[in-house]
Amino acid sequence: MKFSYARLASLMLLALFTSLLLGACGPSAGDTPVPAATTASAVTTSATTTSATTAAASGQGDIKIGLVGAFTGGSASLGLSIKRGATLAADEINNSGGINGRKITLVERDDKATANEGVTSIKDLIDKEKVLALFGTANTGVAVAEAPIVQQSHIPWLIPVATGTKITEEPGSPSFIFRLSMTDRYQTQFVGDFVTSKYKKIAVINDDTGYGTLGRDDLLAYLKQKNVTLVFDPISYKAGGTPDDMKPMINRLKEAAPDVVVNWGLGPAAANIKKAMKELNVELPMVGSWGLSMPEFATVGQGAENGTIVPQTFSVASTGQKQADLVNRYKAAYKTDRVDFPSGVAQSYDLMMLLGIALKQPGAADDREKLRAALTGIPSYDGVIKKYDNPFKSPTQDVFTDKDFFLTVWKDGNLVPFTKS
Amino acid sequence: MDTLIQCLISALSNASIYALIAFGFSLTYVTTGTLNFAQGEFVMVGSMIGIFLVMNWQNDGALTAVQRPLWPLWLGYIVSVLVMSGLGVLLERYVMRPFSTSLSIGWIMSTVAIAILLRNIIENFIGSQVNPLDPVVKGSLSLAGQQVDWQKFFNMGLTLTIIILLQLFFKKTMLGKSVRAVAFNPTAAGLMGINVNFVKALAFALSGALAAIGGLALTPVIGGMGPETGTSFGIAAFAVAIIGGLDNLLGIAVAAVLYSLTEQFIQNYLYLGTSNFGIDLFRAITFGLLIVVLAVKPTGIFGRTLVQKV
Repeated sequence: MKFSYARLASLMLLALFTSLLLGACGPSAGDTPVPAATTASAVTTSATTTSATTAAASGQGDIKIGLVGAFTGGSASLGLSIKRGATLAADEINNSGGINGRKITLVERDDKATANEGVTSIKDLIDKEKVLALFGTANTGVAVAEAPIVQQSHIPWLIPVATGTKITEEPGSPSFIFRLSMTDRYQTQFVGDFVTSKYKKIAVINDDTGYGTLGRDDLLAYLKQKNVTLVFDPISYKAGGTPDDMKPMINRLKEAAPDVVVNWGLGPAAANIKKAMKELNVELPMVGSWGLSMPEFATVGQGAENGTIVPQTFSVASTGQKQADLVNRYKAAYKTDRVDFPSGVAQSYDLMMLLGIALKQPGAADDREKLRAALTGIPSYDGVIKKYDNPFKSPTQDVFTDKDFFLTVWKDGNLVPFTKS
Repeated sequence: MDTLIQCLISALSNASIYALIAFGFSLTYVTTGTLNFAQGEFVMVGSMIGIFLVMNWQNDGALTAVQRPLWPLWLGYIVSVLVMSGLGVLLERYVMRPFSTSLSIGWIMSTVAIAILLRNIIENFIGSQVNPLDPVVKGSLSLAGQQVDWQKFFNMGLTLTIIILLQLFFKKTMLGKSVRAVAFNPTAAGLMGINVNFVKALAFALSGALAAIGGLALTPVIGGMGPETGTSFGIAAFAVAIIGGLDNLLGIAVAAVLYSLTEQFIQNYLYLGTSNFGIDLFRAITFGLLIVVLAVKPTGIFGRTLVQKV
C-alpha cells in the first residue's frame, strides 16, 4: 500500500480540522462566551413551554427539582460542591418528613461548564422532565446563557454558585431568578475595599473565561469609583495556561512591581501562575476571587498557593454545632477528610433548605408561580452560613452583600481565617 | 538576559516533549502509512495511568484525595508505558488495519473517534480535574535569577537518550532493520520472510510507549494533567512531525526545537498587553506554516524528497 504525499497532505489537513472541530465541541475548561444565536433560539422554544408550566404540577408523588452544574470538566469541583451541598440538604428534608409527606427528587444534568450544554440541559429539564424548579449552575458564562430561558419559562431558578452580576439582572417581571452566592458586584467591592485599605500599588489580572472577564469589569468599575489607578491595564491569561505560558505576564508584573496582585480567575490556572512566580523568584502578595478557593489551586499549586488570600462565606473551622454537623455529614457521606470548595457546599445546602421552606407553603410544591411567590415571602431561616431574614428581599433577589463575606488565606492545603494584622 | 535564558530553557524542555510525541507519529507513519490522531489522548491516558497508580487519587470523579496504598513511582511509570504499548497494538489491530486500504480515510475517522472516546472515558470514569504528578527528579536549580525544575533537564536528557536508542535500534538490531525494511517496501519485506503485521504492531506499541513517556515526563512540568490537556500537545507534536518530516527522526528533533523556540520567543517578546496575544499569534503562524509546508514540501523541511516512478 502506497500513499501519494499530496493525498496524505490533504488527508492530514482533513483530520486536523476534524479533530480541532470536535475538540472545540467538547467540554471546555472554563466558561464559554454566550452564543447569541443559541440564546435567541432557546427563548423561542421556551416560549412554547410556558403553557406546560402547570403540567409540572401533578399534586402527587415526588417533587422534581432540576440539578444543573459542571459535574465534569475543568469546573467540576464547583459543580460537585453544588451537588453535594444540595444533596445533603435534600436528604435531610426527605428524612425529616419531606415536603408535607412528599420527597424531593433531584434530576441531574451535567452542563460541563459550557453554555451550549447548559442551555440544552435546562430545556430538557423544563420540557421533558417537567421539573418544578431549577437548582444550580457553577459557571457565569453558562448561567448568563440560561437566564433568558428561565425568565421566559417562568420557572424558579435557585443559583448557589455562579457569581456574575448580570445573571440576576436578566429582565423579568417578576424575576424567577434567586441567588445565594458571592455575587461579583459585592465580592469585588469586598476585595476592592480590602486591597485599597492595605496596599497602594495594585495590579489586576484575570482569566479569559466569562467569569474572569465579567468579574474584572466589576472590579475595575469599583476601583474607578474609589479613584484607584492601577499600575497597568489589567492583563488576561488563558484559563488552560501552563506555568511557562504565564511567565511573560509575570515578567510584566515584576517590572511594574505592584504591592499586590488581584487575580479574578479559577483555581487550576491560578495555581500555575503561583508556580511560575515561584520559578521566577517573584514574590508578590496575591488576593483572589473565591475562584481561587477551588481545591485545584492547592492540588496543582503543591505549596505555591500558600499565602494567597480569598474571600469566603463559610469556613470549615467554624465551631458552631450546625456548621460542624454539616462538615461531619459531608465527610461521612463522601468518605473524605476535607471539604472542598466549602463556601459552595454551604451555600448550596442553605439554598436547598430555603427552597424546602418555600415548598411547604400552600400550592408551592405544585405550581411554579406559587413557588416563586413563596420564595420571596420566606420570613427567616437559621442556616449554616448565617441567619437569613426575608433573604430574597433585594431587587435582584441576591441574598448576600459584601457584609456577609470574610477573608481566608491558603495555608498547607487548607483555607484558614485571615486576620488583617 | 534572564528572560532569554528562561525562553531557552522552556523551549528546550517543551521541545523534548513535542519530539517524543512526534516520534510516535513518525514510527507508525513509516511502517503503515497511517497516523494515530489520538496520539495526544494517548499522552493524556499514559499520564493518567501513572497519576492513578502513584499519586493520591481522588474519589467520586473529582475533589478530595482518598488515602490508599500507592505504587512506587518507577513501577507506576513502567506499568503505564506497558499499558499504552498494549493499547497501541490493539489500536493497530482493530482500528487501523481494518480501514487502512489505500483509498480509505476510515483510519483517520476511527482514530479521531478513539481520541474522543478516550477523553470521555477518562472524564466519566476517572474525573475531569487537573491532577498533579510527582516529578522523577525533585527540586530545582537556581539559574539566572530563576528556579528551573530539575525535571526539565531530566526531560531533555530523556529525549536525547531515546533518540540515540531509537537510532541504535533501527541501525544495529535485526528487528529495527526489519522495521526499516517494512517502511521501505512492505511487500518485498513480506516476501523476504519478515512478519509485516508484527512489525506494524511493534511500531504502534513503540508509538504508544512514547506517548506514555511523553505524558509522564510532561505532567510535572505543566502543573497537572486533565482529560483535555493532551490534545493541545498532540496537535503541537503533529505540527512538529509534519514540519520536521514524518520519516526523519532527527528532522523532527530539530523541528521540535525550532517550533518551541519560536513559541517561547513570540510569547515572551511579542507580548502586547495581554498574555493571550502571543500564544494566539503563535498558533496562527504555526498552522499557517503547516499548511505551507504541506503544500510546498509535504515531506517536511527535513524529510527526504520522494521520487515516484510512473
